[in-house]
Amino acid sequence: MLNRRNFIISTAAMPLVLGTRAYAQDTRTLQVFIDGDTNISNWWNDIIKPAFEAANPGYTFNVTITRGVGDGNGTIAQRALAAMQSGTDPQVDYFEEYNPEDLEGSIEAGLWTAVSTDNVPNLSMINPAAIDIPVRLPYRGSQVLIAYDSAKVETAPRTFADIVAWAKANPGRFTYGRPDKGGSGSNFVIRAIHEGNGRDPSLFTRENFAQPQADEMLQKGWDILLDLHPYTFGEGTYPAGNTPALQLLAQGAVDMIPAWSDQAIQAINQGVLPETTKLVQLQDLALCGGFAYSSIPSNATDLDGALKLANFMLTPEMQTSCVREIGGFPGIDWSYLPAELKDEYIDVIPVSIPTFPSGDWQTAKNDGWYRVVATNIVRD
Amino acid sequence: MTSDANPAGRSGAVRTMHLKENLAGLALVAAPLGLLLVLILLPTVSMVWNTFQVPVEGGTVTGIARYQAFFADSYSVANLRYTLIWTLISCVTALAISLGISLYLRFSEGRIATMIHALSLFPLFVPAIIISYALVRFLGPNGLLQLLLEQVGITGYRTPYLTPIGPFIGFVWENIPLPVLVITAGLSQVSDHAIEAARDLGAGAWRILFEILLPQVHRSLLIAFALIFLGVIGAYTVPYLLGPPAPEMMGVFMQRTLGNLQRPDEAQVQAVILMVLSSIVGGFYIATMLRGEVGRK
Amino acid sequence: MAEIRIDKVSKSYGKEKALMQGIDLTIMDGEFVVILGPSGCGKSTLLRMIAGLEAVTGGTISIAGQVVNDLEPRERGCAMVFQNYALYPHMTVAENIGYALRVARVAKAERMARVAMVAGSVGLTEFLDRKPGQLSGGQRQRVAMARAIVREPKVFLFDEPLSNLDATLRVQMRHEIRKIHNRIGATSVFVTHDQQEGMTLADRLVVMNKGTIEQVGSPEEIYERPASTYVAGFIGSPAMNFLPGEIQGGAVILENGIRLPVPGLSGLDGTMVQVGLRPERLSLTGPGRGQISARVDFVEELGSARLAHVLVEDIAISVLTGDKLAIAPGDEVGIAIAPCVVQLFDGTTGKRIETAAHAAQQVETVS
Repeated sequence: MLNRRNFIISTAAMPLVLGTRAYAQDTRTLQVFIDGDTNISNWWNDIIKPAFEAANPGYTFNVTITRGVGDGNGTIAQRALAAMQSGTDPQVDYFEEYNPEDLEGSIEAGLWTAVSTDNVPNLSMINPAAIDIPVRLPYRGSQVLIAYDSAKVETAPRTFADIVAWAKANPGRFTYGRPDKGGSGSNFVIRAIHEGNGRDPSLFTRENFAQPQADEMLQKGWDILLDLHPYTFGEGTYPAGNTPALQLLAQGAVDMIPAWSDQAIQAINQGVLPETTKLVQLQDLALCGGFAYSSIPSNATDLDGALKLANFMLTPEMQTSCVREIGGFPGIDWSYLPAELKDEYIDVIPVSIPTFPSGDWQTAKNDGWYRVVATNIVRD
Repeated sequence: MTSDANPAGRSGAVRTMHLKENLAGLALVAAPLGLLLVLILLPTVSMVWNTFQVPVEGGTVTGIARYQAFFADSYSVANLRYTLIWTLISCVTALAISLGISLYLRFSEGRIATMIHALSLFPLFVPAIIISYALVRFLGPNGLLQLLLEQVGITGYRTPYLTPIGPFIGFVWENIPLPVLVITAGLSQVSDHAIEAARDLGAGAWRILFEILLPQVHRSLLIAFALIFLGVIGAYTVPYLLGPPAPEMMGVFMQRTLGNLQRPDEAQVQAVILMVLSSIVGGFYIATMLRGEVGRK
Repeated sequence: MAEIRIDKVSKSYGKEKALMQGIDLTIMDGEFVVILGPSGCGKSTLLRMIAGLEAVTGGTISIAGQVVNDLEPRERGCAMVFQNYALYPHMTVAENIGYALRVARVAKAERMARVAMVAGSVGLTEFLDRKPGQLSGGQRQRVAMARAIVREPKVFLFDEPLSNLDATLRVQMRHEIRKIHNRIGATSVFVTHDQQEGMTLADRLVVMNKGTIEQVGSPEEIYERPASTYVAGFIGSPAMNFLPGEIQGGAVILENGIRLPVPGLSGLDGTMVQVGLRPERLSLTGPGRGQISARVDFVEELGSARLAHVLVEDIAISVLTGDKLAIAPGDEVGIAIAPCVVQLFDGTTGKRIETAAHAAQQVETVS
């Protein structure tokens, strides 16, 4: 993988660099790299840019979209690392989304700026659930929600048991995506595993995966999903990812699915999903979610400016915009956001943001699901 | 002496010339051949070799334990069986449809035939992912087909989407153009006179098809079969988007084993098994091609 | 018994101009008829309509008294031999020959016996197990013949079957076809563009031109009394000399003013004509003798004969002679033209003009 990545960098990244630098005489221009979907880059260009310029006179930024170019922002991160080692200008100030853990050795090499309330004061407002390692800045999140057609579903499910009960009462009208093909299905499967294990996410950590206890713990989730299996759409023909699942909901083939908040909200706004589509978060234990992490290289051309931008992104104004414009979740705590926003989104605000470890647990979960649930094998 | 030497010298010169031509020919293929060797053959060989390396305490030994593990795992075997069965069913169906279209094209002319020809080649230009999403829209639940059927009063439509029939339809759709090209070319080799002679001899349409036409295009049919088979057996996008979650086609299974489960060793074993199946059909294809070459000479 | 009657047959494709119109022809039982004409004259189409491979647009075709317009090829009792043989490369010679019998569900034993017999009669016995690809052109031609013969058809149809063979083989196969016909006696229709093939094979020749029949007759009749300049020019090798002129006072005045006396031209004064002279019917004489004087242009040596190209003023004439010629280009010679060899054709329509000399000759040959 790494070799291929290197190869792509050396070939694809070079021409990309040209033409992205534009220094104005009085204004300082930050170089921001985005490889997310169009909704993210549009949001940055149309909403954030003018607001940032207004709030920070003398500063502006230039968005470079790396989506679909080589390894996206990974390519640029590689370049920054190479620039650091050779002491040249990395020509990058800010990664809208890049997880420093994805570039092996880069954290150890000191490529990333550690953020704290010292250099980014607004970090004091951050959602405590989102804090992990200092070299990445959780500035927006997305969470898996239950999306349903309120014209068909009378009462919104508030617990996992509600979903199972509704699905059994309405055979074939609920489905979820395959866990390896997208986060919506994956997090629903995780939620079932949590359900089978006393709704205690703390039982699963990156380090504690061990056979055979792991199999036993997972089996509790499989039992729940196998029980649900015959009542799902097509009696257990799970769509292959986030979009195919949304498509089934859009076509009226099912009435309830787990879905990513941002994708669902966007689909409703675009009219792909009917207006009667509603979103709800489970209140007994939320479905897992994840944060998008911005990161700033320590050799950024304009490190001060980049930190200013980071701080600006954590202001309640920008965080509100994140909720309203892209259907994202705020990186800062809901309590810092306007009360009416909170009221509007009360259904989807999780009590807690549970997580599920990556690594062995993930692969065991995915492969186990295929072998046990999808094949409908009931084990003794 | 000199008169004896002359012919020898001349034939020597001729030999040199042939050698030069051969060298020039080799030089022309050297670059692609070298690339093939370095980029495909070497990694393949090393990958195959790797699958026979079984880790034991303190190192590895050569053995077939990985293959035993694959065939001992009922889930993997079910995937393999599913892949083979549906590949064959898709091949035979696509071949039959392509043959039908080719026969029509062989014996028809005019605007409609030209249109059908163009239409039959159309899937060639549509990526699998587009085909897949379009088929979901058309065949899927509450899709166009269901709506049309309901318009004429047929209810109870069960969508093939996410069942084995889903990818089957995708495969057939995808695998019309190339076989049509190959079989049409084959059929154009059969002269009108040969068919007229058969009519004159009293043969009916079916007899002409089975005793005159098919025996003469059997090479094209074999080639078309191999083309479809090789395309379908390793397919990814179509079975991934249209098929059921389990059993999985080998291409999807392999991708998941490698990409999601991050078990390259197992994925390699799956790949080698797939490669062996493909090479059987590929060998068939090459043998057919070679026979044709010799036959022409 | 298997008389073929073609009655006012026409053929057209779609809305295009008719390819063929008002064809009338009767082929008698056991007769060998050759349809002769250049490519595109409609002769093959006519044959294919008899076989049932082409639909008839208008008129009727009947075989042995039965109208066959709507019958399938296999119901017509015709066996066709194709130009490129149309053998099946995947079948052995025996299977090729016996295919029609297999289609007709003839029992295997009988089938094999009949195949063996026919193969023996055309000299293919030792090739029965080979595939057509392993045979020479002549052998393939025999397989195609055998395939037709084995069906014992009422009618044989040949579509230029010899045109893919080399000259020697063509002559040989021509004889074999005629021999087979003589032995079997089935009605045969043979299409060719080779006039020599037509002359040697036919009981009766049909000369076609642009979708119409120009003349029907015995080979001799067609040669001696061609109905038009078209037939006259098509039949005979080297080709007939044509000299345009006008009849005046019992003679033809050629375009260059030379007077060619022709007997029996009374009452035709003022008619524009084409004078037709067959090269083999002319002879060279010394200067000042013969009917007209000419100058030698060049001489072609043919081995058995010589073809002298001479110029009468500016009109080129060829003369074929068996005599040794002691002439060189530029020599003055005379051309002897017997009155009976002069053929006259209408200058505008190209149709034959009968003269008294011909009538006399006709009587001569008959007596």
